Amino acid sequence: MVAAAHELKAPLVLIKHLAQSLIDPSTLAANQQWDYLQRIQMTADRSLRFVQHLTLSYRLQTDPRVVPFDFALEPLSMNKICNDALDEMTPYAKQHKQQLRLSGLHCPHLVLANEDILRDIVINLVDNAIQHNPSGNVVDVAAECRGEQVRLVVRDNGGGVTLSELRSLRQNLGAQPQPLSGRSGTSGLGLYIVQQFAQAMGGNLGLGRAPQGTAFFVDLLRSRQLSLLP
Amino acid sequence: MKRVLLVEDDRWMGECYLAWLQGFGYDVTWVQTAQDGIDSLDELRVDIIVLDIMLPFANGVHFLNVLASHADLSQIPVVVCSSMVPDGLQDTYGVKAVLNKAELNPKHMKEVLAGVFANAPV
Repeated sequence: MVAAAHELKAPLVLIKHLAQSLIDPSTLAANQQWDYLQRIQMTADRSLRFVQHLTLSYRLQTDPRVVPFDFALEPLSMNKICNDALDEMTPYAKQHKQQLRLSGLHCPHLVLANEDILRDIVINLVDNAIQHNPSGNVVDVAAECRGEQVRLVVRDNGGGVTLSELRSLRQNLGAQPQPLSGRSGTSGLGLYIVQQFAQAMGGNLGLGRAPQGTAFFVDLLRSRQLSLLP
Repeated sequence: MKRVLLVEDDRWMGECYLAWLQGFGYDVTWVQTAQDGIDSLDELRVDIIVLDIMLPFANGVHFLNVLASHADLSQIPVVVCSSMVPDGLQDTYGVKAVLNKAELNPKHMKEVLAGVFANAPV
C-alpha cells in the first residue's frame, strides 16, 4: 500500500506543478506551454496505466479465476507487439530527449501470450528504461529466440543497479517490490507487477547488466504455430 | 544576481523548478545527482541550494553531510524541497526551510527563498 501510494504521489505532484506553471506564465519557460500540456497528459496516462495494473495485480493475487479470463493466451508476433508498443511510447521518449530503437527483432517465431498484457509489459519496461536513462540516450528493445522460448529484452544506459542489488533483485523478483538505490523515485512495484504478469502467462522476468546500464528481459513460451508475417 | 544550485533528479520536475527559479530572477544551475551537486560547488559560488532528498545513489542527506563536513560549504543556506523529508532536518545541516513538494506552489517557493535571503548574514 505504501509503495503504491509513493508511486502515485510523484506523478500527481508533477501534474500539479506543471499545471501551476501554466496558470502563472511568469514561471513558465518561453514556448513551453505545449510541452507542459503534453507532459501533464502523459503523466496522467502513466498514472492511470499504473492504477489499472495495480488493480489487475491485486485480482491476480486474490482471485485465481482471473488467469484464464484476463490472461487468455494466443500465438502472437513479438515483433508486431514491440513495434506497436514503441509507436505508443515514442512521444513520451521524445519529451525525455531519448530514442527508442528496435535493435534486434530476429525471432521469426510466435509467442504464446495475451496481447494486451504483453503490450503492457513492453510499455512498462520501456517506461522504466526511459525514466532512468540519461537524456540523449537510446533504449534498445529486442526479441530473441531461445530454444522453446522467446525473449523480450529492454536495455537502458541508466546504470543504477549494483551487484548486490542485482543478486537481491534476482532472488526477490515477484516476491516483494524492491527499490533500487540508483533509481530514485520508484518503489520497485512496477517490476514486481511485470513479473506477476509474466508468470501468469507462463513466463518469467529477469535482469542482467548491459553496457553502462541494465537489461530487463521477459522469457515467454514459443508457439508451435508458424508466423505468416515477416 | 543571486545564484541558486538546484539538485533535482526528476527531469520534468527539474525543468519546472528551473523555470520557476529563473522567473524569480535567480541565476540557476541545475544538476540531477548529489555528486554533480557537490562537484559543482567547487566551480560555482552559490548563494543558496534547493535540494531534493530522494536522489539516485547518494541521496540528499548524504549531500548535506558532505556540506557540513567542509567549513566553507557549511555556510551555504539550503532549502530542502522533497516529497519525503526525514524528521529533524529543519535547522540542522544548514537547512533553513523544508518544502513539501505536495503542498508547494511557485508563490510559496518565491517567498521562502526571499525569506532565507532576507535573514542571511551580509
